[in-house]
Amino acid sequence: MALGIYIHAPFCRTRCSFCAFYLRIHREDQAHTYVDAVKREIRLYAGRASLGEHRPDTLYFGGGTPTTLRPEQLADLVAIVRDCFGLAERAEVTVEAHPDSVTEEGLQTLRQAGVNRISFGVQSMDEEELIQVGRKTSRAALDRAVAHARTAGFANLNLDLIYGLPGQTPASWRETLAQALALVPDHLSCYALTVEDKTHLQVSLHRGDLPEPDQDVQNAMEDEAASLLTASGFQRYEISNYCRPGHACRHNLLYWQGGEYLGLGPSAQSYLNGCRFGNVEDLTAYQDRLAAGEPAVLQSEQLSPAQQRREALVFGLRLIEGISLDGASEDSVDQRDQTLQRLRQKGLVELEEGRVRLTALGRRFADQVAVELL
Amino acid sequence: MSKDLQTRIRNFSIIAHIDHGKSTLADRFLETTGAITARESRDQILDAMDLERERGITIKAHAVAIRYKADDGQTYQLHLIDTPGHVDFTYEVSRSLAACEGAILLVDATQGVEAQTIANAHLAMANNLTILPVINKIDLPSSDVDGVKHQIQEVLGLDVDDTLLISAKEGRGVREVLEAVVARVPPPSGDPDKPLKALIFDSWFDNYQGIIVLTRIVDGSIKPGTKIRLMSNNKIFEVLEVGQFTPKRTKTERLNTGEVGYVCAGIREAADTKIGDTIADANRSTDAALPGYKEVKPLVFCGLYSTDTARFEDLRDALQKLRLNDSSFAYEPETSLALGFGFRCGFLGLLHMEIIQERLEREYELTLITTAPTVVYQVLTTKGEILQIDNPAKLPSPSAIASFEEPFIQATIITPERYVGNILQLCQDRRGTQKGLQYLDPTRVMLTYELPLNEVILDFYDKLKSKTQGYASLDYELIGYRESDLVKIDMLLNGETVDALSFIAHKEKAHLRGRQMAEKMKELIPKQMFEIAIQAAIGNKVIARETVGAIKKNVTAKCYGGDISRKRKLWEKQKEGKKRMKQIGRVEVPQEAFLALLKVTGE
Repeated sequence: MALGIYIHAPFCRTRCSFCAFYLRIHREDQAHTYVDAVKREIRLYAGRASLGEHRPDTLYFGGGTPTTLRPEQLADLVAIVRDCFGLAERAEVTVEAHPDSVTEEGLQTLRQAGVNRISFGVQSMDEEELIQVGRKTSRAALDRAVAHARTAGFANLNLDLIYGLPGQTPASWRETLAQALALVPDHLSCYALTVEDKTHLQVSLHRGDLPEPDQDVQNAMEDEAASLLTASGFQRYEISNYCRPGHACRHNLLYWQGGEYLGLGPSAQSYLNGCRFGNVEDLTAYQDRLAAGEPAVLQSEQLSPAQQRREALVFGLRLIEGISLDGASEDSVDQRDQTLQRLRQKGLVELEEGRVRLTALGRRFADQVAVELL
Repeated sequence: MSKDLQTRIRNFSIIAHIDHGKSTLADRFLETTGAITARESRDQILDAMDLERERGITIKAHAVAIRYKADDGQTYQLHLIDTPGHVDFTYEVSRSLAACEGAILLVDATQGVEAQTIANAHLAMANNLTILPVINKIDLPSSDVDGVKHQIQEVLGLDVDDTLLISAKEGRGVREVLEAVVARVPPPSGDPDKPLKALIFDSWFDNYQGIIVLTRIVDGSIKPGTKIRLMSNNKIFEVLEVGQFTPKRTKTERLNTGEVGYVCAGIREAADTKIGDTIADANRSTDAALPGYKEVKPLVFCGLYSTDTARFEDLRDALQKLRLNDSSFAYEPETSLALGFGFRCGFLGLLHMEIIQERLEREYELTLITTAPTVVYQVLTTKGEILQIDNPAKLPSPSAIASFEEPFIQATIITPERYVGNILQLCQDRRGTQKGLQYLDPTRVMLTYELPLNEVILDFYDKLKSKTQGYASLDYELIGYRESDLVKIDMLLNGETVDALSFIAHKEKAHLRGRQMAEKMKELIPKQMFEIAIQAAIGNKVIARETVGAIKKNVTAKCYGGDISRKRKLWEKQKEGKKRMKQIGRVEVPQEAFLALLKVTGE
């Protein structure tokens, strides 16, 4: 089975109001210590038998904003992963980037280091909408960043978009989609705005400073994205993800296909050998643990084979093509099939030739389906 | 046993309002007499069950035998009989008291005489007990010893000259209380040569020995091998073991006249050992059964259903086992269109119902749906039949009802004078009729009201407490059935009547209750994929309507490594929550919604 490596870069220049990820405002000295700690962590895991003969097929830098790190630091980390784990020959190596934090040379450095997929956090093409959520950037910067990426040789480029932002209208969302398409990306992620706990956004909504996201409007925007992007040659392959044929994100597919991944960096989560475990959500604690030569794992849970199967089904259902129903065994099958029949009667799933997939309605209620199937 | 030994037995109880310090005093007795060391003394050792400890009340009575060397140099055998401390269990209290010659009337020096003080004192007087007034918590700065003495004299008509003043918490005056028990409580008067006559005042189920009976030997004696006959049902058993709790269970050779202890006789059914029953020798009949025996009838009924319909048999087994322990609740199978197969269960009161429900969930790992409690109504049909209605769904149609009666109680409420206005209002709202208003002292008032039981079981006590900042106390007794203008209110979900939610209310309140129920259900039923109409109706007439709006989506937008870790936990939790839901038609209804009637607020 494929293995992916995820590296969490917990730094941003500013925090967007909707963001609930573990991160800090970037400081050069902290970034330096952090990179050292990640290197230690890579070496620590590379020396362990648990990874077996796996050669990682994907490497993904997420955050935070990985490009707050200097390109050399990122290149350094790619090289160490390659040395220690032996990246597969045609490995997918992704870096998430903020359009403001990349330069032409920097992108070339990344490209030369073997990074072959770049993912820009765009969210919206409407500057007003971005300001509402505490994000400051310009269209010009995005255009430049995309152009530099193409010049540097990135043939796999993603843009992240959010719909349902405060003040966003169906018309402005269509405009964002149109402008995104005009940049000719290979991949688009369209996320419904989610109000996470303990975010500035939640506070603003609670105080009534911003209007609550409207579910009907979000649904209409989802439909709009699906039809517009599909008409433009994109395939929707996951609830929130679209790609040109052959450009699905291999790393993210691991999450939905029951693949294994090793998460490095503070707060990063892993799934290896049926065990889910996660690192401490604190940069200092993370660094201290690694300085002491120990993994920074805070909690772990070994899943039973039945649990593994149920989770594989639940997360596999996020894929548009659904998931094959074989592989599950004996007694649990009856119960699962009863649940699936019930979900089918509610119009949430379709069953066909040993596969199950969500219907359009089911994609809107995927969490409800998950609760029933877990 | 010689007559001499019998003269050194003292059987007594402590009677008190809740929180007046009964359990603390009992602990001090055990420590003072060396029955337990302070180290052994878990707090309040007599309250053995977890639930009792958590709720701070005594549910099952217990009896402890203590050896006490008194100041006169003699060693006495003291039997301290603990009594339940809640109005639901009045009959159990009265039978426990019937096993005694004396009672310590314990009153909190800062609180004074309360409703249960009076109720229990009256029970003690009815049993001709010698009552020793004891005022507790005299160490507290707000104690008012003279005021409390005055109340005891005025309200209960007791002689307070020899009132003992103690602080059970600090251990002050405890020995003096024991001396007073020895000096003032008379020894038991039974005749050891007469045929066996003994009172059953408690029983419970033991996994190894079956039913264990707590008994007071009135005449004669009992020992292993004795063939006994239970006089209420004439069943015969052979005694396997007798003994006492010291407080450890300790086997003895026999239980003699005047003594209190336990008897094991291989009895398997709790229903066979009814509290208040008389034990006789099967071969040597006693002249007559002890007075005061009665069948305890449940006052409050509700439906109990397993949320998982496949566990119906488990629920039946659990009820059966619990009943071995507690013969005062009743159950029989019933079927609900909405909930499937379950049981209609009867209880002594709401607390009793909650205790049984909690034990079923905790000890038998069942997840239950409890329907709203109801009293038993009496209906005379136009055909001349008398029906006992313990489930509103079983009520005949209005045209078939000639008369409709509901049970009434007489309530005694004691309150500081400043809350009287609030209480009069509350009682009036609950269709009460005032029967008396008496000043216990210049600041405290005793109110007597007649009230329909159905207005009391739901939330009367909570309301009374909140309207008096917790100061009022309540006791009540059933006084009989009276005709009332009652109607059945049905609740509908998306147009379908849910039989398990029907309830009966007075006509004047029907609209209000219907509206409150619909509002409460709206709060309790979570949004689902479709809109849910909640209606209250009398017959075909809808009297209230609420709508639960639909959710339009429920999907995680980003689902990657960290999100997966968070979501799977959340979803598993929600799945647990779902197990506590019942699907009715398309609508998923949470457990609590079936008890919405208990939660409708305000007047």
